[in-house]
Order: sequence, then C-alpha cells, then structure tokens
Amino acid sequence: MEKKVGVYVCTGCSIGESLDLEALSKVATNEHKAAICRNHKAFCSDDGVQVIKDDLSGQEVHRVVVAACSPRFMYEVFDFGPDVITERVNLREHVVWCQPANNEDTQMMAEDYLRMGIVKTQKIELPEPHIEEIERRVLVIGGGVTGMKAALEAAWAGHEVVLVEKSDQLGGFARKMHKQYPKSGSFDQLQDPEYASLVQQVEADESIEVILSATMELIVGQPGLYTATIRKADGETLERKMGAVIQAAGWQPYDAQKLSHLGYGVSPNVITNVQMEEMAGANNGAIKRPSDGQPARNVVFIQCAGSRDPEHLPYCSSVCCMVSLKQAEYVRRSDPDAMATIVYKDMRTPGQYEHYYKKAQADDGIFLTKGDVVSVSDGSDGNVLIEVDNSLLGEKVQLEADLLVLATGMKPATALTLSEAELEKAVAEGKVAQEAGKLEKPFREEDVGKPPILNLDYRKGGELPHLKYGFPDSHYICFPYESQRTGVYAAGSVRAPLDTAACETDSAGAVMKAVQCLALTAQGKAVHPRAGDETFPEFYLQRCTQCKRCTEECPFGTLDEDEKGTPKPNPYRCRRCGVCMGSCPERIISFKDYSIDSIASMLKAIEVPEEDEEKPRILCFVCENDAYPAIDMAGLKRLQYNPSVRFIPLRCLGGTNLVWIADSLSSGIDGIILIGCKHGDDYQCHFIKGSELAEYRLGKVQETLDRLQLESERIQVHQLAIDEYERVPEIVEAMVETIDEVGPNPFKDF
Amino acid sequence: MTERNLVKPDLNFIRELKTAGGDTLKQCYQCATCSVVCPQSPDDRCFPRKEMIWAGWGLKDKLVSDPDIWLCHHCGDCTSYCPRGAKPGEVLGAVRKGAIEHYAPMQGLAKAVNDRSGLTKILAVPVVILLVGALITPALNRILPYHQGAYGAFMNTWFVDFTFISAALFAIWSAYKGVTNMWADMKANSPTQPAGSLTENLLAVLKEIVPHKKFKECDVNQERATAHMLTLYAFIGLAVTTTIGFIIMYFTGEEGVIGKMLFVMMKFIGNISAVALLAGAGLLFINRKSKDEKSGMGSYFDWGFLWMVLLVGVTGFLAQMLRVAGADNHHPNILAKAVYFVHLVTVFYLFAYAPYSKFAHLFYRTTGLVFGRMTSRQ
Repeated sequence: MEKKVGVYVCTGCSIGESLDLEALSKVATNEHKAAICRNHKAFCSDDGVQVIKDDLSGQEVHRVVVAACSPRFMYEVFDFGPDVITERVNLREHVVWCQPANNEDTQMMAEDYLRMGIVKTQKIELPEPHIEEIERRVLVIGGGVTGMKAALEAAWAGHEVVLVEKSDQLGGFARKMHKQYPKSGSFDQLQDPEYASLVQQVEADESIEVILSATMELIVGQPGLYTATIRKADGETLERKMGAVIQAAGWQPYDAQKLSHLGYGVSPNVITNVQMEEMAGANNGAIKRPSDGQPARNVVFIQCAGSRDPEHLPYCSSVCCMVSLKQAEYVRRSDPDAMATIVYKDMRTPGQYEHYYKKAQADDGIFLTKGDVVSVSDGSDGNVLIEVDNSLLGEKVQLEADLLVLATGMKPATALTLSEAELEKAVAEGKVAQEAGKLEKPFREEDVGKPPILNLDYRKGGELPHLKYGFPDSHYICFPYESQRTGVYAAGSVRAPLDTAACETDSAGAVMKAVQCLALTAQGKAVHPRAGDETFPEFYLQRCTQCKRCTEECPFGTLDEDEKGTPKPNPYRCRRCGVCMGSCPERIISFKDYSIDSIASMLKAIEVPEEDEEKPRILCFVCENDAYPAIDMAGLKRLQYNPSVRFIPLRCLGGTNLVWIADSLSSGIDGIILIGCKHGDDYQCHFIKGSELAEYRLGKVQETLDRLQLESERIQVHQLAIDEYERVPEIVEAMVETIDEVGPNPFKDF
Repeated sequence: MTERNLVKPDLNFIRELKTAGGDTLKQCYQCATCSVVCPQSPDDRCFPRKEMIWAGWGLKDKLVSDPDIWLCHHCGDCTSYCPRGAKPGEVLGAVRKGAIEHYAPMQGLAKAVNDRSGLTKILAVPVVILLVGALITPALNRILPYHQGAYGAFMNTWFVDFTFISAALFAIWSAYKGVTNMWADMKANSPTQPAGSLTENLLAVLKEIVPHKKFKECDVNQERATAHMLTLYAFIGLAVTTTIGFIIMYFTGEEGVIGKMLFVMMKFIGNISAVALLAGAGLLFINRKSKDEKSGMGSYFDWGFLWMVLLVGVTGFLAQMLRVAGADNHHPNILAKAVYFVHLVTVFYLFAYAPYSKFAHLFYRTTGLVFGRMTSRQ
C-alpha cells in the first residue's frame, strides 16, 4: 500500500496570522517528503473537507495529516473512513493559542508538531480486528429484583439468559417486604412489592433459563467465550457457554450486633429496620413488641444507625429514610392512636420521594426531629429510653419507646465477610484460599475474605476488585456498571446502596453495557473505555524472555501465562491501553497504529537546537484521557507557557516504555515530563493503575540516571485532573527552572 | 448528668388544636421564616417556630405556660409568609384557646363556652336567671326602692345589679385563679425568672396596651389594630358609663346639679362608646372575613365571641332607641323589652364567661405581656 501523505495546514482560528505557513510547507514537502501541503482558511468547512476528499479520491494522497485544531474537535468532519489513516496536528490549542504570534520559538514548536504528526502517519498501519465466533448468552447472578429485571432486559434485547439464584425462589429481599414505598403516581401511597410480577414475567419468558438453589462454581474464559460451571444444592453441576456476566448479588444488612451503643441487645424491643420489615411482612402489617407480643403504640426510629459513621458504614445507604417513613406508616395503620417518632441526622428523600415525606410530616401521629442519640437504655415495662441532644425541640430530651427501630444501612454482598482480626487468623492458618473459592485454586491475595460469588478463573482474582467500602470498583459517575473484569458488570445494590426502583433502572444500565460488550466483541472492537478501537497488542514472541512483566502488569488480566511464562492472551479481555507495551523491556509488544517505533520516531523527529542556542527541549508524555484535554483547555483559556515543551499523547501513561526515555535523552532532550491521572483510593485513571505504574517505572529510571551521573530531576512525573488546566504552565515552568539549574543535557552535542 | 425532659407527644392535644383552627400545624418544617418575619418576636428563643414544633408534637404543658403565645397579636405576618402554609398565626390562636381552657378553673364550662354545641346550655343560664328576674320584678318593685327610669319596671334594677355583680365576682375569681396558676407555670418553665416590680411593669404594659403600640407593629393586618383599639376604648367607655350610672342610681339621683351633669355625661359617653363598639366590632368582623386567605379564618372561639360583642352593641343601642322612640319612656313596648332582654343575656355572657371565652385574653395577654416584660422578652 502506498503511503503518500497529504498535509493540510488550516489557516483559520488565528493559525494563519501567527505562523510562517511557507516554512511549515517546506517542513512537510521538503523535509518529510509529503506529497502535498495545502492551506485553507477553514478545512472544517464543506469546501475545506472537499479539498482533502478530492485529493484522496484522486489518489494524490493516501494518508492525511490535518494540522489545525485539537483532535478533540471536528473529529467527525475529519473522518475519511476506515481505510484512511488520518492524523491531527494540534496547531491551535497547543501552539498558537498558548504562544506569542509570529515568534521564532512559536514557529519551531509548530514545525516540531508537524514533523511528529507526519512521521507518526508514516509509521503506523491500519488496525486488523481480531474476530472469532462468540456466544451472546448473558449470565445473571442473583434472582432479586435487579437480577430478574436484568434477565428480562437482556431477553427483550434478544439475548438468551441464564439466571442463577442461590435460594430456592426468585424475589430476593422484596419477597420479605410488607409494602414498598411509593414509586409512581402522586408518590404518597404505599404499594405492594413489585417482585411478584417480575417473577411471573421471568418464568414466562422462554429465553430465560432460571436455575434455583445454585451457585457459581467457576467461570472460565473471556467476554463472548466464557464457560460457566453452575453447582446446584443437590451437588449436580451444569455447564453453560456464556457471553457476558451481570453480577446482581444484592446486599446484606449492616451487622446490628456492632450497634450496642444504640441499644441493640439492650432489650428485645430494640430491632433493626430489616427485622421490622420482616415482622410487618409476616404479620400483614401488625407491629408488635418482641418482648410480649403486645401491639407497639409508641415506636421510635433512629436513622443512620451505624451509617455515615466512620466507625461503622461511612456512607449513606440512601434508602433508610424512606424505609423508616414507610414503617412509621405501618405503625400508624396498625393503630390510629399509635405514634411513631423518627430521630434523624438529615432526612434524605430525593426527587419525587419528597411527596411521601410531606405526607408523613402531615400525619398527626408521626413526629420528626433532627438529633444526636446520646444513649439508649432499658426502661420500665420493657420500654426503651432514648436520650437525644441537639433536637429540633431546642433542648436535650428523652424519648420513651415501647419499640425502638434502628435504621441500619446496606452493605454489598461482595463486602468482606471477615473482620480484620478474623482475616489475620485465617491467613495465618492458611485457610483463606479454600474459603475464598471452593475450588482448589492458587491462593490469591485479592480474594482473601471475600464471599465467593463469581469464582472467575482469572489471574487478578476470582471476584470483582473492591472500592474501599466493598463495592465493586468502578467510577460511579464516569463508568457505572463497569468493573475491572471486561464483560462482567455489577448492577443493583451490590454496586451501590439502591432501592428497588433504582435497582430496576440499574439493571437496565448494566444490561446495556453487556449488550454493547457482546456487540463490539463480535466485531473485534474494544468495549471500554476505548469503545470501538479495533487494534490489539501484537506480541513478537520469538524475542520474549518470559520476564512476565506484561502478564503481571496488565490491569485487566488479559494475559495468562503458559508453563514457561510466555504470555497467552485472552484478547477479548483487552482494553487496548498499552500498559503491556510500556512494560516490555524487550519492546516486542506493539499495536498496528500505536507502537514503540511510532512514538520513538515522533520524539526523534523533534529538532533539538544546539547547546549554544540556549533553547532547551522538554518532552512531555501526557495521558490522552485527562491531561491532554486539560492542556487543550489551557490553550482555550489562552494560558501562555514556555515554548520549549513538546507534548506527545499516550493512550495511558502506563504505556510509557523506558526506551522512549533513553531515546529522548540520547537525542539531546533536556527534560522529560510525564503527566498522568490521579491515582490512589480515588484514582481517575481510565485503566485503573496506568499512571501509578508509570510513576513506579520512572522511579527505577531515576535511580539509574543517578548512577549514570545524569541528574534524576530531568524526569518529573505529575498527576493532573482534567479540570486542573491552570497548572499546565507551572508544570512546564518547573522543568525549565530545573534545566536552568542542572544545565543542558550533556549528550546534546554527541 | 443534665436533667432531661421526657418528651411525650400528645396525639389528643394535637387533634384539639387542629379542630380549634390550627388544622395546618403539621405542615411546619421548622424553617423559622415565621420567627424572622414576626415583628414581635424577641431575638433569643424566638417564636413562633418553637411553638410550632411543640404544637406538632402536642406538648401541651410547654405551650400553655409559654408567655410568648401572648406576645403574639395574631397579625398574620407569619401566616402570610409561611412557605408551607402552616399558618403559625392560626396555630397560636388555637394554642391560646387551649391555654384559656387549661387555666379556666371550671374546665367543663370553658369547653361549653368555646364549643358551638354548648351554646344553648351556656345561654340558658342567663336566660333562666333573667326570666325569673322579670317574673319577680313586680313583687320586688313593691318591696325595694327602684330606679324608675329605663327598664326598671320590666326588670328590677336591684336584681339586675345583684346578678351582674355576682357574675362579675365569679369572673374575677375565675380570672384570678387562672392568672395566678398561669403565672406559677410560666415561672416554673421559664429559663429566666421575672425581675422588677410587678406594679411598675403592669403599668408599663398598660401604657403600651392603651395606644396598641405592639399591635400596630404588625404588618400584614394593620387595620385590625385600629378596629381592636376602637373596641377596647368602647369597652372602657361603657365601663365608665356603667360606673356613672351606678353613682347616679345609688348616690346622687338624677335630680340636682350634680345628678343632671352626671346624667348628661353618662348619656354622652355611653352613646359614643356604643357607636365605637359597633364600629370597632363591625370592622373586626369585616376584617376577619376579608383577610381569611392571608391570615386564617379563626374558629368558633373567635367568631362566637365576636358575634356576642356585636350583639351587645346592637341590642344595647336598639334598647335605648326603642325606649326613647316609644310612647311612654318608662313603660317600653314589648319589642323594646325583648331587645333589652337579649341585651342583658349577651352582657351576662360577656361578663360571667369572660375568663372562659376569648374575652379572657384581656387578663391572660396582660399577664403574658407583664411576664414577658419582666423576663426581658419584649
């Protein structure tokens, strides 16, 4: 295939007035042998695009370099189809909007970016997707409201479904509920729990196979190619081919035994909201004191019992306020002279639920106050005394209840089941691996103490990795439902504390992700977050030294190993971040359109001025997800920064290969900056650990540099959130100052 | 350990308040807009926010002994600004009714006075007494010297005075009991104890009441202050009139220079006061009718009392007119007698039941204001 490159330098958006266009044209046509270099006052206009299209259709050019605005704009306009490699050179945000016009340094910067763009275009190839025949069946784990709704949604989307439930009937917790709080209409009437109609629909749907009294024995494989082994209570095992998995294992109530400070255990008449619900469900709404079976006429509810408390559950479970209002109505319905008092930290009744809150406020026998519960003690006649400070009544008060309900929060079913002490003991005794998975699997630290739900055969752990509170890890705003296991999606109250209405919506969301996953996987495309990317890392295994860095570092467990340690890819688990490429010391992992060579060629294309010119050069690898847009925004805000910097975007900073650092230093680059996403507990990396890995690797390089008497300060690593654009100039300036101090790169003149 | 108040919500008191005009009380969500807009509320422990949650929880003991409910002049500012339509002004009105009933020494009587269903029984008392009076008047008139003028021939003046002085004594006893009990409760429940001279503070409060200084601070419903002031002056004028009448009847007689002078004064003040009463009560009536959207409709407690005041004015005026217009000034016709009879019944109602009806606010509000003043709540 011919590689004639056409370069199109747009003159709009003040590019034309700020730069020497003729000089740029010379860089393209003379220096880099581009077939054509054209200017237009707006290539994004119909006329402009037509110019490029005419060149392409006339076979004048085969590859296109558009030197104009940031690739984050006009990407649909400059899409010339899957057969044309198109590269965007960001002359607007990264050059003319952040540098003085018609200036020597600005011109050098623009020329360097143009060089890099053309070189990259010459070095990369069109991707070739990896396509296999896949299975589109969806496995749903959990038969509660979320699981049932997920099964139905998947079935409605045309997928076969296998629904696995560990108990002997569908319905989950909703089956135990007496009523559910209003979810529709004027939002002021209690409703019968909706699970019954879901059960009916699931049972009637022919494309859903329900397997009750069963748990997951093992899930082997990758999206589209899973084999799931399901073990029934009677010992029988079933095997099913699966495409994607929805984890809807639900929740568990917070352990009230830990709430003795709120009176749990003080008296039999102190119960949890879950016990209250079960009592109401079992007795058709009658509320009785456990101690003597007498009707409860004076019921107090304590909200946030253990919730929003750093000692217990630090988060809000979002449902308890509505649940207590509902249960207060149970009390009022069971006896018109009965009273219900709710002591809360804040009432949280979001959205339309406010209507139900208003209804409760208007009820003569419901009393609401903010307050801090100081103590709960046993009173006379089985009554409970509650001392409350900071109440709305304007004084320290005491309440007397014949039944006290603690509104406890929700923990995900995935949360650690062992306490820290128990865990330590179990690890010491070597029992944990067996408990974590019933299988004889290798010990995995990631699974220690976690309830075995998925039992994935997966080198990074058989369960979904957790956030700090035990919820499956995924950014809840940017990437809800996603997990660190491609093709496995969490839904419902295992993902976040949700009520049944939210669970139903949530299940639809997770099913959408599963459907997307199967559709994209079938086309050999990446699922998330680089949805639609057709590339896949290629391994030149003849030169592999079995060092296992790639297999260890891949955040998504894409690479298993054979006995020798050679990587064995599961391509459909791959998210195309390039961490493996960055990790490989032999440089044998590359993508067709993103390779060791393409980046190395780009950085070598930078023209490094002689030492006596006193123009340092700083190379800056940036994460294309957060840092690159931040730099665009710096341009948009016309922030000015030092002209010696050159940015090269990477899919993930974790893809930084150390050879690029070596190449840069040997080609005379004075300083190297890496800007990645925030990492740590609240990480922002799209690929979980990429920026952290880059920082770790660079730490090693800095040690080496010190040994070579080359100042380690020449390499600096930063974390930058997408909204921290105002820090861009200072990050560059810090490096310029460092170079002023340590002097130019001593390899410059070699 | 700090002493803690055991809070026991009282569902029945909530229901009582709701039927007494506070039906919106549960709407309150404690935003305190009411306390901010209230021109009467002091800066600390302001009202009516705290009264609203006490009412919402049915905390009767706290409410009835709260002097702040008497600082409220029911202007309706809070009610018209309340974002939730909880009508704090109306709720406080209902609470005041609750307090009057609570401190009334005869609670059954209080209930009967303030409930429409008790009206017949309540009116039956003066009707029976006065019918007996009318029946025995011919006999009495023979034994006792009586005042010839006016309706003396129809209703013996000694009898009338005896009845009304007894009623007044009953009222004074009731009011005294109620006020002293309330004072004791207020003292027991107030975080600050009253300081200073009772007489001085009472005088200071009266100085404010006479020109309606506090009442006029109210914003939304200012016309009511004028109407109420007119009514108050009318009652003062009528009290003066009655006193002069008493002096004439028992001491000076109508003859002689002093007697004649006093007679002219009595007629002059009496008629002016009667006109003022009609005007004041009429205005209050119209005002309540037209402002109901903004500041609430009140209840039977308010309306019953207002009707009775109007009736006293109308019948008193008519009784005089009909008598003067009649052929024989000393022997009024049957219509005049009937009107006079109704007048006596309504006056009895106002007199005897004063500490039990809305009229009781005269004592309780004054007490509340004095207490408020002595605890720096003004």
